[in-house]
Amino acid sequence: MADWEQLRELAHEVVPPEYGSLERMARRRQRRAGIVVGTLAALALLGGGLGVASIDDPEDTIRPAGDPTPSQTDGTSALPLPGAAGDPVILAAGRYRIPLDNSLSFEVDLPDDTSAHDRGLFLATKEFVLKTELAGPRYGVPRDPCADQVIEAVGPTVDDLVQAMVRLPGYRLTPPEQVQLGGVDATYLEVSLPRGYDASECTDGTLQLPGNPTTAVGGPPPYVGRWWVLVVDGKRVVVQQNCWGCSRAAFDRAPRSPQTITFTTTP
Amino acid sequence: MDGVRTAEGIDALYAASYRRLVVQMYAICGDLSDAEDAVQEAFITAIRKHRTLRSVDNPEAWVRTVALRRLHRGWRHLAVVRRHQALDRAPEPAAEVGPEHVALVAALALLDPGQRAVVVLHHLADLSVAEIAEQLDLPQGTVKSRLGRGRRRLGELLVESESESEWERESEREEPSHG
Repeated sequence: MADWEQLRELAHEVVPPEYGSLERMARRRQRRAGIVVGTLAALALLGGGLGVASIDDPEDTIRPAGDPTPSQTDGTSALPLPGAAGDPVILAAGRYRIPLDNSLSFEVDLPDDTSAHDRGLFLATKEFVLKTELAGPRYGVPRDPCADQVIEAVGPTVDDLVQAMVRLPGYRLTPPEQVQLGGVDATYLEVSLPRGYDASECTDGTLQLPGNPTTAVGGPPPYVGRWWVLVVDGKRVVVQQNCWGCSRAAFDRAPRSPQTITFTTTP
Repeated sequence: MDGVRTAEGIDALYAASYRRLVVQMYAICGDLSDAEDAVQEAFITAIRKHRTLRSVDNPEAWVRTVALRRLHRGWRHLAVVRRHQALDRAPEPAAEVGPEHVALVAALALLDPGQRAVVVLHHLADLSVAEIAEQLDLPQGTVKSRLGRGRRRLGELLVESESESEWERESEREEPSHG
């Protein structure tokens, strides 16, 4: 039987930080928001226009999307179960099979020291975080990646989702390109947030990514990503290769794990 | 006007509820540092939005909802990024987690995330099905089914865990002493 009382007693061991420190933090953020609002108001009064993304970093330049070519490797391992308290699983280099649901799995080549979180939903390498998930009817995009990060469903088709992604404010996206991922037709987008993007007004200084409402994540600029949207065995799937704080060059040098993805179905 | 200075009553709410909210978030996310971060951020938001907080019926529920949203949005990403991309490292948690807590939290971590949140809010935060439905913005039927399935699965996982522990204890007893 679950001993909830024992867990409740852990509360006695939790040491709250001094309340004043939270007040000071709140005050600092309030001031910062005030400065930003004041500056924007002044710019508006001066007719200066508002360019939230100032941006001349050559590393942030979007390049034409490239067609990823899948590769095959033998010797696939099932993803090990998480450790105590849901700790991430640290993986040796190799090819792993990760279930997306009871009948659909994907396989992927991962570099050494990849950590698998949430049973493979997130695969974090040193260079990027790979997120692969079913994109059912609740999958969507944030109303506003910066200021209103609630995920709203956008419709059931690949095209519904891609069109909503393309319309996302803030992000720079390449035009959608038809490619193959794991031998399956996919729509591919390259996405970025430049280093100069001012996220100080955004919730927690982050911008939200598309996702399922319970798995969506966000992060601070700069951000580079590669997104694939596809249908496998009648199910919409989204693969995101995400990196916050990366340069485009470093991202391009990273292992091409997503391009090794293949899908397997079991009856 | 300094909004922070007029945030009366939040310090009392903080003193009364911080610890239990941290434990609830810990049971959901499995990481005490992330749980503390989420609750602290929720209180910072509460201080900044004290006028909104004054207008709600249940301020603790409001803070919990903010902390939950933060967990959903951020904990996976932050945990991943902290570890692998050398961003801000989380401070050490202010409490020690003993093995007696780990077993239950480890079993909770194996539940579907939707079931986990419902089970924790019901058993640890003592919320009713209706309250959970309201706080998670879910139909009551969904909460009931998640609660039922989550409880069953949690029971199975704890039995498995207990059997393994028993087996390990017996193995240790049978090991010849080398001392």
